[in-house]
Amino acid sequence: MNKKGSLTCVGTGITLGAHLTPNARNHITQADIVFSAMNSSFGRLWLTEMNSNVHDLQQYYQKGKPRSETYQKMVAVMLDAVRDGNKVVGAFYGHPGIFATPPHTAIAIAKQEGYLAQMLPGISADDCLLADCGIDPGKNGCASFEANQFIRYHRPIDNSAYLILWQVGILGDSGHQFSTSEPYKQLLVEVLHQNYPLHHEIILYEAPTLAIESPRITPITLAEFAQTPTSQITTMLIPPCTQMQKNAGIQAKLAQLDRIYRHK
Amino acid sequence: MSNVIQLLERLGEEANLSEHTLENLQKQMANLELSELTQEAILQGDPQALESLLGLSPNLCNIVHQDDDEESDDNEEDTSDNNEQASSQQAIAM
Repeated sequence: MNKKGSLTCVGTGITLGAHLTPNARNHITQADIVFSAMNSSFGRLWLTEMNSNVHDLQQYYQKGKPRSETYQKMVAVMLDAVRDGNKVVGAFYGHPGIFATPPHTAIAIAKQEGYLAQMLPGISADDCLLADCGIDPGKNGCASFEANQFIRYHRPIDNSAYLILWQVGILGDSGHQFSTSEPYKQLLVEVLHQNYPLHHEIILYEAPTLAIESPRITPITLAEFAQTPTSQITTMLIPPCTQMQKNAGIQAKLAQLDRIYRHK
Repeated sequence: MSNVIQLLERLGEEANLSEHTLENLQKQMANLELSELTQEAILQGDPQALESLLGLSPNLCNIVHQDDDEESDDNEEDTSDNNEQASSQQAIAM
């Protein structure tokens, strides 16, 4: 038996009005309280049209304040409302489980404490990227990393697949700032140059938050990245620069299996 | 302000902004009695201008993710800094 009070984290999608699922909308309209982390001030207002009791989580960010503290506060206020017996919705832009720390943490704690807690998916920035850039991850394969993690650790790269790097606009940020600068971006170029030529064409992508905007798709060379302006929502898409290499050993074994099992 | 949000929502719901004729969009905006500047910002696809006209505060941060390791690495750095500090203090004391 669950305790009174519940938490549902929903994704509102990226483009206002275009991506919200009927299920998520119902949860928002029926909630006792909605905590919002939207990608624009318009998004915040939009939620207040659906529910009059919207609490903006954006207020907990401060320049110089570690984001980890901000996220802890976000989790704390959502859980306090659940413990008070409310039907709580956390409305996060995009997908609430992709590049979103507080929803995962809050749901895990709420469940541990015996409350009903769930996550509903939303259309994420990578969904928009795949659609707008015409990429099918099934064709060549696709790896995806958070850019800061990518440069801080040794990550094997398969340059015959697509590579997507998130949050390239806050490279080097240790949780206190919300931007980056040329020397930090040059570090990423240095790491990528181990697997890609400097003249390789990459794409900087930003999904539209409003239907009056168009997607920003900026093709540049890898060498140009450090000097190219980026924002908090810029994503880097790196197309393959080599062909996939056949695994001759496995292909021979597959052929052998086919001969045994497909002719029975 | 509510009119603008409703218009933005409707534009999002509709199939594709490119399917809107300029005339249709202008008509919708005129019906909502939006100011000329607001209409111009919408036609130009300029959210910053629209935000400013409506007196809205832009988001300080659009990031809601932090790599756990990032934080623990910082802690490790802090710890090693402290250790270094302790060692140098010890060295001075000696």
